Amino acid sequence: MIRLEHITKRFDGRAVLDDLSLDLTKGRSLAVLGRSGTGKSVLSRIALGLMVPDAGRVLVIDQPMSAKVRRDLMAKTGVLFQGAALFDGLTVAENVAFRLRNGPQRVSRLAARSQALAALERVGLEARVADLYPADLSGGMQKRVGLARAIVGAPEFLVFDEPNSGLDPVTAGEIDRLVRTLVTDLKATALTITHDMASVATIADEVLLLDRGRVRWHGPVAEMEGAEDALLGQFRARR
Amino acid sequence: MTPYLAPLALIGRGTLAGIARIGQITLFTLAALARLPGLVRFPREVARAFMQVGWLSLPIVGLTAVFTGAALALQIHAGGSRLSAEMVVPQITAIGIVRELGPVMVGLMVAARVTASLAAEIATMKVTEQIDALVTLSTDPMTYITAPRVLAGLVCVPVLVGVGDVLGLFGGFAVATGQLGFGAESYIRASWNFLDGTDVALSLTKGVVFGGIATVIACHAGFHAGRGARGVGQAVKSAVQSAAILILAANVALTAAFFGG
Repeated sequence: MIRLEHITKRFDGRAVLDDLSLDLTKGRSLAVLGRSGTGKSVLSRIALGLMVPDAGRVLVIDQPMSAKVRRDLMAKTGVLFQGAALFDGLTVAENVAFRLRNGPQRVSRLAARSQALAALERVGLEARVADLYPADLSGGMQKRVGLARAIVGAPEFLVFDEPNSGLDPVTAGEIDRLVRTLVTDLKATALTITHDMASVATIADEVLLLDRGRVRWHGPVAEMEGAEDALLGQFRARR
Repeated sequence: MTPYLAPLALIGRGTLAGIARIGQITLFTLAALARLPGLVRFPREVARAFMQVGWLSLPIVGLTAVFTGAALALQIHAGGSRLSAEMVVPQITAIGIVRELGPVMVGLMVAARVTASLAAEIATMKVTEQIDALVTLSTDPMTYITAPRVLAGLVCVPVLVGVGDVLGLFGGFAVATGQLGFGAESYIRASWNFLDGTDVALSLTKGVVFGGIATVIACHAGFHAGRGARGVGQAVKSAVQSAAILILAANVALTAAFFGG
């Protein structure tokens, strides 16, 4: 669905991504694993067209990334940001219904609210939170709202940036399982950025280990346990 | 490079960076203006921006104008008395407030209050990825965030300047009639007869320009904020400084354009 070809991205002369190539296969869930500062989030931003690489190109269903291709991609993409990125001035329901009301679909207020409530229910939130503001919610609830906003409108492509960061282990596990269920139910292509091996095992079909801007190891989750890679071993040991 | 050329290189780099920034802000302004027709989709954001820029600025603008007008009348009376020209207080207060102090004080108050708050709000949105979230939700951030605030600046600040002018004149009137011994009717007549349409046009034109500067600079700084709390702080500082300097520079240019001969 999305192909990154020979991507290089530098900041202050330092290559954060260095000649990286990657295929996001339709219907597959890929987790990008790596230490902090290895370019995981930069990779997701480039894949979404939010950042332009210094070299290489991004293809979306064989079309090179352009303003129009990005617009079309966004119409069928849901993103859960690391800090949820909810809009402070809007209620939970308005946040979740934002794409439906303001995106290309222009759904009526009533229908958008109804879909937002359904999405909230799907991520395990009761209707009573719909009229609260993001600041009234705990971190875990904000993540769930962010998740509801990402899946509303049944997107084909889902991006999760550190879906369980900042959460306690129990809530983190719940969010991981929820992400997996939603990706499976929606038959979506998913890209998850994480440094958490437990997340990888729950969410992903395949894993890409990023180190110093390059692909260090790439393979199915099932083969991860037996892989002889020192860094992967360190991640496994921390699980 | 020889050591004595280093300061010249520094000046050169600073000049080029300044020119580049002017170019960036010009393009940003044109992009914001091009988005104004798209605002029909976001009436709630427009209403919120008008409230933030206009309505909520009224108290500080009003108080500033009243105090400035009162102090100006006292100064003109004190200065005029040295030349036995105390009777010019209504005329000079009127012209001073309407042409200069009204718009400039309102412009600077807006730069302090509105520019700081808009820059902080947008920079925080940038730092917390809310601007990226807008893009992924198929919404253009320039239309949703910048255009309503710039429109509010262009419309509300001239209104604030008009209100500031009236309240500034009232401040001068209150001091002149209460303390300096002027008659109410003669003071009003002298002020009214001295002002003409050009004075008011200049005042309101300054309001439009200052409103545009205050909001465009705030939005530009917010959109280009660096990371974290430090990035937000620097965006606010840079926005308020730039807006205040540009407002004062624009004030000179507009005054020269209207009355420069």
